[in-house]
Amino acid sequence: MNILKTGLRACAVFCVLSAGCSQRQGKPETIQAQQGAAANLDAARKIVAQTAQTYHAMDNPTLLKRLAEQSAKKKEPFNSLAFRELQGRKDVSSESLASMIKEKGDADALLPLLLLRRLDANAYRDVSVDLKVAILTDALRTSRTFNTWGLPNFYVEEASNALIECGRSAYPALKQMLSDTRPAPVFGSKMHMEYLRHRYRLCDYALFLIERIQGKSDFRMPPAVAERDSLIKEILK
Amino acid sequence: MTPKQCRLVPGRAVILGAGVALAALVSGCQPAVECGTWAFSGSPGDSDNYVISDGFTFNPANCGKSCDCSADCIIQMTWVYDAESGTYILDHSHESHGSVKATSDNWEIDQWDTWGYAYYGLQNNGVFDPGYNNAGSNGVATTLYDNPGGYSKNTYFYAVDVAVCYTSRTCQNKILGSYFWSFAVDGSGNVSGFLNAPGWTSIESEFQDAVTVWNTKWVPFSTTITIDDGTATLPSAVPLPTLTDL
Repeated sequence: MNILKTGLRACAVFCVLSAGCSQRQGKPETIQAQQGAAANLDAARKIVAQTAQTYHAMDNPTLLKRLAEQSAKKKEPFNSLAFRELQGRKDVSSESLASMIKEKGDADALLPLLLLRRLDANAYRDVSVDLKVAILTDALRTSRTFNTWGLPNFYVEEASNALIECGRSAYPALKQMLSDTRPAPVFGSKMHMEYLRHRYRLCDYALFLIERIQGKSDFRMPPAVAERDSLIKEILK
Repeated sequence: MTPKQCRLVPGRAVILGAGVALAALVSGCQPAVECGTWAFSGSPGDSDNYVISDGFTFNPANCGKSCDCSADCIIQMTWVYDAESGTYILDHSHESHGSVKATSDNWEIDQWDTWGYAYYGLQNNGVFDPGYNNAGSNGVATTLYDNPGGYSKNTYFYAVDVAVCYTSRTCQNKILGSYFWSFAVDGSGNVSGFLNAPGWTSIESEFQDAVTVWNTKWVPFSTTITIDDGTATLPSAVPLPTLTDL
């Protein structure tokens, strides 16, 4: 009898919860989909944590090697695992970074250059403007996606600021890019949406940077391609 | 009752049976409250992107409640995973303040830095941009539009859309429902839909973390930048109210 009563009580709880479940759309296929999604997220989250730990355990020479590899692969500084790890360290050798910068001298040196700019202002100042311009403009010219540079009217990233700081020395290379109409996509959610709205091109990035170098800090990129093209024509006259 | 508590009466077959069923039910029964219906549509676009619309139609009877919500809308949070490198992906940097919005798991409310409100389509002038997300109401869908893309191979994009009541005399700031969607870019660069499901309780906890980060980190930080979306300038981002289930 007691067993029966207890069983009925359990059944009552079961039934109440069942009703609650159906109210909460707890259909088996829904629950299965939710469990699948939750498990997938959990697995990815664990890998992310493990990867960060692995990089955290690396010594500086190993990380600098990875930095060079990731720079050559055109990883954004904020998505380069080596850059993420190194930017928080106090004992990174500025000499090693400076030597990587000099040795490459082109787009492949972008991440070392930006890391040096962030970690050691004096050592960064010692890098010649010509070398900085060569690296930064080559990186811009050969970018596959442009998140490293930001999105005109929304974000100006570190690489763009570094180029703007170079001033008029960057003009010749940037002016050459004013004729290059290849697409300049950015990845992202709203960022990609904005890119699709305006269809930014390499020449638009060059235009934006030239305007900023000229001191027009409030320059807004015109949404219409024709307007941007007429501004470009003005500069090329 | 937890599954462990269910096993406290192992000697009684009938109770054990009920307990096991109950345990399975309780452990699986984690859907979040849904006070309406979701209509999600997602398909690959023509430029490495995934074109989605995600509509929520509020119907309080769905969750056994009653409420007139004169304006409901959606808050979206996102997380992007790079399976090749085993890490998360940001679309912009710390310098432009992206990480200030991110939870410890790197989820963040999907909003421009120059837009003060966390609500996906609400502009600084207080008007919803229907190109992003219109305001809905009882029986009228609020639909979010997104076009994420441009990602490299082996990337997974995850989003959670949370419908909230924005204006109401009785159920303002209530969570009305949530929906998880995702897409993947495979090793050949092909984009396709991945996992979709109505929200569940732990993902809504993650959302509450993103709200906390918005309020405690992003809002104070935002005073250092210009919050100007072209419609109005705000002194800072706007804190979200406490959002609770209807």
